[in-house]
Amino acid sequence: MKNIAVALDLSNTSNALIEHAKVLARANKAKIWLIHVAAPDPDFVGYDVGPKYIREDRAHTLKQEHEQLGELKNSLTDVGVEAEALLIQGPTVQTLLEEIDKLKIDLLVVGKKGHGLLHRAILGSAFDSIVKKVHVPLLAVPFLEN
Amino acid sequence: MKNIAVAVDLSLGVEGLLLKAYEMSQLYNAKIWLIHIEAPRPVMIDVYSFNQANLVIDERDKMLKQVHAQLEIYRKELAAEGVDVGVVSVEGNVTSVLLKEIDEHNIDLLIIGNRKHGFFYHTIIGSIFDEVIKKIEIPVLAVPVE
Repeated sequence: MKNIAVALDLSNTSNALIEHAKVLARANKAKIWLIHVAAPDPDFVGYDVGPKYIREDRAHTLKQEHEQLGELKNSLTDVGVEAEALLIQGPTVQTLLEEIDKLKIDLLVVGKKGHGLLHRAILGSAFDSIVKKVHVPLLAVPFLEN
Repeated sequence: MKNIAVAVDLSLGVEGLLLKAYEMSQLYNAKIWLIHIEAPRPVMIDVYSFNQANLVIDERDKMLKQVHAQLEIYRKELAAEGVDVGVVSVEGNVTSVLLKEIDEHNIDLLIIGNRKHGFFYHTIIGSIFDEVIKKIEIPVLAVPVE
């Protein structure tokens, strides 16, 4: 096992996921890839450029996520675990799976949130489609929703 | 992590699951539980095909014997490597019994095969794997098997 990927949504569960990856990376002398897939930029039909405030808000969010990801990466490299952070924009599942292929990932660590029936029926979840499509071993860590 | 369970259905790919379980048990110094759940014995109510019913049940008993022999082989192999191994083989509704056993033995990680099915299979039949991963409340390592 050389490359371990952690799919992060940068919520409060990220640290717990990284802890799991850290143990495995240390034992296998593997590298950890922290991957966060940001939603793609919204398209505005009928405008040449989108409303300014929305573009600024998106830029601000991305910048924040970038910083957060960098901090998480540093928390790993500080304790001697090789780590790399990736912030990519695109459709969540597809982008994630493409990166896994590209980086030759051997294990993917993801969080699993216990959504209710309604949430599942209407929104589905990225987790469900990842489980269905992924071709590498997957470590799913459950979190109870507060 | 003290107890690692492997959901064993003795189809192709079990060796891969056991190898992962072995790796993880070495890493965490954990006990491995081989869990095999057999669907309940079918109830035959058609008296005219009584002989056939017996055939089905005999077949099933024979298969169960083979399963137990195989489980014993796996147990011995792992024990020979110095791993503490427990075997659980029960009959019942696969998902609910599996979850019950996981609870009972204080399992910290479940290793299970993730078989790739087509769209129709998912839509019409669904799979035990999908059910388990939806309901389970501990980390799951899903290993893809072809």
